[in-house]
Amino acid sequence: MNKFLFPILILLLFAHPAPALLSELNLIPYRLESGSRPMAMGGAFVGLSNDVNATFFNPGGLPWAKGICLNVKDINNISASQAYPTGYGSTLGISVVQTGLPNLPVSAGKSADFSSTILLISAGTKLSALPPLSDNKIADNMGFGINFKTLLAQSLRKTGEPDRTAQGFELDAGLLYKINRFSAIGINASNILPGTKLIWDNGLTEEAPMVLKIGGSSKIIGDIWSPIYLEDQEFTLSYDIETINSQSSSMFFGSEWAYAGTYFLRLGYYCRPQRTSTSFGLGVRIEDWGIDATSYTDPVKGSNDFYFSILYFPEEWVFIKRPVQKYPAIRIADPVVNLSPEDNLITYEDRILISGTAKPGVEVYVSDQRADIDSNQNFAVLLPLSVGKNLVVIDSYLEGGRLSQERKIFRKAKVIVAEEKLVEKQLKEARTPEQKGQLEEAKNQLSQNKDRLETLVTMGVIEVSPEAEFSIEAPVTRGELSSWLVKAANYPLPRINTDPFIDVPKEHPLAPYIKVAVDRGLIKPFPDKTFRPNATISVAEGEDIFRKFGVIR
Amino acid sequence: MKKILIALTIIISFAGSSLAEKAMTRAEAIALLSKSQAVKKKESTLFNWNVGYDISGINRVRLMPIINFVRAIPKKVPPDGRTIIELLASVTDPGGMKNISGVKADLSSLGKLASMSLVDSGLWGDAVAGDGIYTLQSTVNTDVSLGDKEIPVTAANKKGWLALAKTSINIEKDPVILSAVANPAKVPAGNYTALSVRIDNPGRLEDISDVTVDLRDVGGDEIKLRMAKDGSFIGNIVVSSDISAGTKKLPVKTKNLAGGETSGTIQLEVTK
Repeated sequence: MNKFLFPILILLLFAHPAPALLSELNLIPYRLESGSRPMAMGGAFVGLSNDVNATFFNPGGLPWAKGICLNVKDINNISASQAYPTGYGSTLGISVVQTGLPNLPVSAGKSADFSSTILLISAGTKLSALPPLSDNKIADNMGFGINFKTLLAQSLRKTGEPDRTAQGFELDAGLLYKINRFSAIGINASNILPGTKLIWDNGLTEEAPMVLKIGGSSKIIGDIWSPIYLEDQEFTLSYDIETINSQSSSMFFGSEWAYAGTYFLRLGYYCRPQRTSTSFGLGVRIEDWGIDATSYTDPVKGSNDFYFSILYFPEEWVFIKRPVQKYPAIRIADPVVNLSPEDNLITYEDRILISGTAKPGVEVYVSDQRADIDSNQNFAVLLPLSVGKNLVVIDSYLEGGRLSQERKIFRKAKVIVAEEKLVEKQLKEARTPEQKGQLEEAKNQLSQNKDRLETLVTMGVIEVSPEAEFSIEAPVTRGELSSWLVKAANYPLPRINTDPFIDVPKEHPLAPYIKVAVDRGLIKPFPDKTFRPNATISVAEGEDIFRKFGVIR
Repeated sequence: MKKILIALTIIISFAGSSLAEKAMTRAEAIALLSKSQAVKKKESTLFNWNVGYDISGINRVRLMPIINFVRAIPKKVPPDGRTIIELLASVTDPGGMKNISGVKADLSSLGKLASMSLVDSGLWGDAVAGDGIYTLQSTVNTDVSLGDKEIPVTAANKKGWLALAKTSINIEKDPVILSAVANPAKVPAGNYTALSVRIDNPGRLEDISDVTVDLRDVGGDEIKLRMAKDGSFIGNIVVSSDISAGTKKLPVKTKNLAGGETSGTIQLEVTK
């Protein structure tokens, strides 16, 4: 390395500033922009940087990036990159970017051919990888990365002038912060080494301007944690602002729509000092592989180009290694037979019997705990269930081999509705067909209401003690409705340090919910600064509350 | 007049209450809440079999019995088919002691059955009933090879869960001489000295059949040592007066009922 650096340092000592050869062609030394996906999103990738293309746009995203990609525009414009997660929240990367720009227009009918090959060594880590920040949640969502860039070759051929070659090295630094599960912000500073220049073979030097790019991204539509939930669909927006030497600025906008995590449609737009343009791209992800294709306008030449990328992101490359013991596959088919219950079971029960018959020599573990197998090779264990989703894993071990089977069991909360008994009693006592008909109708209505109630209890929106009777026809109180609304909307609960209202002390179990419901304008307090949590709500008041909650329009 | 006023008051209050707005019931509020986007979003995830069933959803409550310790007494046993081994297992259960359905030991390494029950009944060698310490008494078959043998112990509860633990015992035949000394170790010819031999015997010390010392080097015959209260084997001897001065090595031999034997020496310095 010293042998490589020494001649460059000597050249730096004797070098003198000269007219910039690249900037007069609107070229920025050490420019890395590459990759079909980012280009299809208009180059707005600094605040997204969630795949191997992070090496080209923001190494701060490397802790969440893995895989290998090959990007091809034509024979002169090829790049390849690899991001390899170490398994400890850090990722190492290596990339090569070859750029070729022939026939660049120069003044007085002259033209120039530019080509460069840049080698990148990258490293990115979550800040939580640092021992003092290991338990810090912000640090766990913040990635920092650097790119060390060195020119393997760079040449410039101008009409009527001698060919020039150059060498040099530079550094990029980037930061990515995942604000929440659906949005992130990032910043990347390219060419940050002070005083380092591009050194041409004639001793002339050229400044590599610092490029600062700030961006953000938001997954507007997506899973349960996104603002809008749509099954199997995702829509992400990204937006970057770039400034070069704090002089010119550019803007970049990108969007990506994904269906079932497999098919991708991308649109982008950029506005640079030289030109503005749109871009368009398609992508497919199947298991460990991906293909992206993009049509976009080259910002320097203005030509309409086509970009093609192949990606490979093996499942075995993991960001955080878990201490998982590996077992060879069990050597007999169906080590456990007659396994009960079936998969995808819905139950009200708070425990379930997992039973089956194990083949001789097989040891059975249910949810990591060993089942007793009797002399007839049968086992039957009673497993408690949580309200909601339960995954039961049944592991069979034989001579060091293991086979796992899973059962998904959904436990719905069971609620005793007080009115049920009454209606049943009245139904038994009813004598006329009219009475019976009316009561049957009331019973059906009650059943529907109970079903809704149980769903809400299962979700955790309404709390009902398992043994307590719940009177569903009783008037709803202001306090309980506050808690239902706040829990349903998943509003964050504040720390209550002072009494929110005269009649709601800070120790009141509903105090945080009442405060949030009032702060968000869902329920109004009374003018005398009371809230009256036990007071009932009139139908008109209730409708007004649900109008504010977005239910009634 | 008063009656009329009261009647009017009642009528007015009834009229007032009927005019007052009807309270919203919980059922009505629940119906409206169920229509909200927030609840619909949660509902679509809640009833989706492909979302939310992961390893974190596995119940981590301890359901198995707990085996606090398993102990075999003695740790060293001869394969004689008669020395009693006592196997003790301390067991508890998250559901209480009544939830334990059985504690078993696999004694196949000792030439016995692979599933033998330990008891906590106060009988069959168990000291106290219901104290959670399960006991089993057994022996080692004569055809069992020497060496360390593992004894797996399982405790099952009535909900079908099983806990596993194990202990080991050393199957050994020959006794070991821990120390063999004369006191005083330096004695003039014609005087008395006391011999003491400490022995570690597989099984019980009482099963040592013979501890003999050959006294021909000090002018005597072979004598048999007797067991003292502290478990050592002792005997007094007189060094013959015509024995020349010097260090004498008196051979010691021990035998046990399992047919094991070992030998050693007692060093005695005779002076004139």
